Amino acid sequence: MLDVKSLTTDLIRADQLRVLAGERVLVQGPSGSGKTHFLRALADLVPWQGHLVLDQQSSLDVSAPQWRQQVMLVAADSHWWHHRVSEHFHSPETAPLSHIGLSEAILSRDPQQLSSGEKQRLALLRALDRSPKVLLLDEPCANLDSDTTLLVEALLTDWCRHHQGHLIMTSHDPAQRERLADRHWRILDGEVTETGATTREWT
Amino acid sequence: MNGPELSLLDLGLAALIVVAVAGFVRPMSKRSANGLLIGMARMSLQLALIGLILKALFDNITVWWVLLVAAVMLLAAGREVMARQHYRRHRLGEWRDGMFAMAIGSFTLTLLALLVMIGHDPWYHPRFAIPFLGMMLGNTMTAIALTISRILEGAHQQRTILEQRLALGEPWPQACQDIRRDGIRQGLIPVINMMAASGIVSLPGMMTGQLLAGADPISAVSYQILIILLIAAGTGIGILVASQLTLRQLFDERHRLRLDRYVEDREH
Repeated sequence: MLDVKSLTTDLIRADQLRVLAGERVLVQGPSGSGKTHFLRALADLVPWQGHLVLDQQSSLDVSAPQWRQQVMLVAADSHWWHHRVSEHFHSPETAPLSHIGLSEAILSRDPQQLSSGEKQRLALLRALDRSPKVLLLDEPCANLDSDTTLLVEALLTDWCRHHQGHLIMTSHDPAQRERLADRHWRILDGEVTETGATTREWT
Repeated sequence: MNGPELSLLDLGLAALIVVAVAGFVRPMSKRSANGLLIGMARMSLQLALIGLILKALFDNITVWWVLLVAAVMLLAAGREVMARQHYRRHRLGEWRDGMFAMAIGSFTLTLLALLVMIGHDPWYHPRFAIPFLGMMLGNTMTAIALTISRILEGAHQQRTILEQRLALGEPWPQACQDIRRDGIRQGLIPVINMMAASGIVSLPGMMTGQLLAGADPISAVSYQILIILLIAAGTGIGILVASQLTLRQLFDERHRLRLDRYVEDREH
């Protein structure tokens, strides 16, 4: 369970939010409303005030790297620094590549030569490879076609169920929010709130 | 043991040639021509001044005067390191870091040379202390300035990679290891090149000066080797310290990259 209490940054506020293990939260808000910034604050990558508590443990009781290993952000654009994809993984052999339409051969490729869609899926696998408890995804399907999007959604749903993961992701696609969301969060005028309603209200 | 004395006329002739060269350069680049002339004036004035100061120091040898001159040299070098940076924080901290790295790199090895290798009595005799310190400071200053600027540029250019690695849970020293490697490499290039080329492509300045002043070549060479070894060690130590302090400043206590604290200085 992830609890967000009185979270404040220079751009956004969130009074009280909660995600239970196994739940998928979809975050929406107009462009420029601070969705990415909000995810970065949850990962402790930008200065913030308030309380973030994961399974009774406050973020301030662990080091920042330990927090980020549990609450892991996958940015909208992925970046790579080694010359082979596999070097970015702890255990590349267990990555579920085929589940989301990638082949084993991609592990030995140079990330610079991959398409943005391939990199985006690999970035997701790279995060899962580190076994986080909370995944923060910023538009994870932005560069994917509709078939591949469904594969990624299935992988994420499977991860939430079987690993008791917490998923918090942004999406511009109302249909995707409808398909995935157990909870809806909305950012408006810098305020992050839970909206009980379905996405239909906002489309 | 002294070579023939140089007269003011000799120096004036050399200066006249520089003025003539500046005259040729001027139609192509006015700025460079002015730079040559201003540089010539600055250099002559500064060297004349240090000549007078050294003469005064030689006349009354106390450790305090030597230390005072050393402190002024260190401050000037610290200012120079920061003045060369493109990204600044404009805080006392960055001065302190650069100066600390230079002091560690140059003062310790100068002391070692004076106390152990030269072993003159008194050890702080300005005839040895000031030239040694000047050589060490000059070289560590260049190296540290290069390392710091490479690291700050690298962090700005590769900020997305740095943030990606932090987001994956890497502690800051691990996230920035590529940037540290580039910075250290950049700082060590001049001293490595100097060692490779000395004696074949170039005769180092100090040795040339000694030879011209009439010193025995073997003695000049052994001093030169000592100086270069100390410079190599001193710049290495200075660079390691400077890279650590500079990188530490890029992150806050929660391992966040804080480039928002830096401003870009467009003149450099």
